[in-house]
Amino acid sequence: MKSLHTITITILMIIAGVLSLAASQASTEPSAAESEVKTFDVDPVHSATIFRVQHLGAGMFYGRFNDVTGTIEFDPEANRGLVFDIAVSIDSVDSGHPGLDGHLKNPDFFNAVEFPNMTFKSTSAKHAPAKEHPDGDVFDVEGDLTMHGVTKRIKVEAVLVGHSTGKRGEKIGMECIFSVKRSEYGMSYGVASGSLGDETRIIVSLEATAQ
Amino acid sequence: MDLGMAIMSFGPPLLLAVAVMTFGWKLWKKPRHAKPPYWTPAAALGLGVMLAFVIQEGMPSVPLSQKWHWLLPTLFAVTVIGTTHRVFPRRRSIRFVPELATAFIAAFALDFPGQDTIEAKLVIGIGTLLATMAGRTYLLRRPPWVLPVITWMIYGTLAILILQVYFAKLTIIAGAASMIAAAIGVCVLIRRPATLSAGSSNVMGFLAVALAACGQAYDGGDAIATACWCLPVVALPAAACASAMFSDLRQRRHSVIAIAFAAACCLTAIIWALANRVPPPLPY
Repeated sequence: MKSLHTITITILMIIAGVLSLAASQASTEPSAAESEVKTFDVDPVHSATIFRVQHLGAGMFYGRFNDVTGTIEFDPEANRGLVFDIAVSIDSVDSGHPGLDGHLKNPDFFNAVEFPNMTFKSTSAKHAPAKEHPDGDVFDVEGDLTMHGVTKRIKVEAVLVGHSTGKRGEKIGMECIFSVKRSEYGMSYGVASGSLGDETRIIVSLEATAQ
Repeated sequence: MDLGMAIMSFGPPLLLAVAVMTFGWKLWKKPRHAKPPYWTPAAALGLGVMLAFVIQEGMPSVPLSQKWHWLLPTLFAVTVIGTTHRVFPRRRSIRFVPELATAFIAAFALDFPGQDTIEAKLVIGIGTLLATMAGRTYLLRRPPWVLPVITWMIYGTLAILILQVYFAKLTIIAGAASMIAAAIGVCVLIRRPATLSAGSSNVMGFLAVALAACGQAYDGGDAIATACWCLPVVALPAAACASAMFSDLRQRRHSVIAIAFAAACCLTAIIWALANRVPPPLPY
């Protein structure tokens, strides 16, 4: 009788041990279902869009748009739920030369009066763990890029370059590098004459803060 | 812009305009007394500027993707009015029907950004009416080279103003218009009996207003004062008024005075625009 009592206590202790171990595991590693998709506001001060185009078949000319706004939906714990809704103000173009800025804003290029924003809205995004990048996790993103009144579906690779939680709240950093042919968006100034390249590389660097 | 690009940009419109004038007036074939067809200057200017537009921007898509593309269909419509001017009724009471039709097209079909208020449309419409009527009423009766000389100055001034707002394609279009006006003047001088029809003044007046309105619409930073855009358009009625005021003088003299009035308007616009240019910000 005594041995039966001992065996029962032993079994109960083993069950309790297993349950406590499972509970401790669950508390240290939250499941995907427990983490949530958060909305991050793009920080316009620490975000920028940089573009590069070849000039006269020789050097690469760089310019940037300083005013980038929008939101990123993302679950940084589980690397899921990535949605971009980004707007770039054409009026914020900064080439380092006021005259050139004026030309870029005119209908020869972006036509800022009629099309004040360049936008990107993602339609799907997948974490691509197989793709390695020195800065962080890679996501294959597909979405609609609207520029100069023309909307085209494009595929870009977005890299999660950072994720931190500090005094200024939870922040993420994202970077996308992709190329477009500007003539496909109705901006063909200088393409035929060869004075400016058609292929334009765009680098979008975003820092966003959780709402 | 290098020489090759300049030839490619200005050459074909100029060649087309000269070809139309040559074909229409048969400069070297008809006897000197033969009266040349009335439609050639209107067709030469309209077709030449349309070609300049297409070279710069290509054929616009339908529906138009940018508002400044309205320049092409409206110019086409006004060129049709200009070349078929003689079919309109010529009775005194309704002789300005083509000018009224052109003013209506300018006011309601030129759909440039920021000019959709009724006040802006009225200004554009009345400006077109005055410019076209001035050309027809006064300048056509003067030596035929006066109107091309004045419009050459007006389009040249507009090209300089548009360049200040860094709109390169429109600058080239205005430059091509200026060159074509000069070519029309030369052709008129060569072919002595030739005169400009009322249709020509219709296209010339409309184009001055359309280029000024388009340049003003895309002056995003307000680099040029609105009055500067108005002055080249005012040059046509001002020249006509001067011509009427001094009509008791010999024809050549009051023609020169009319040109001087137009030149004063154009020079004032250029000097005002250049003097008021906002200097670029300091780099630090």
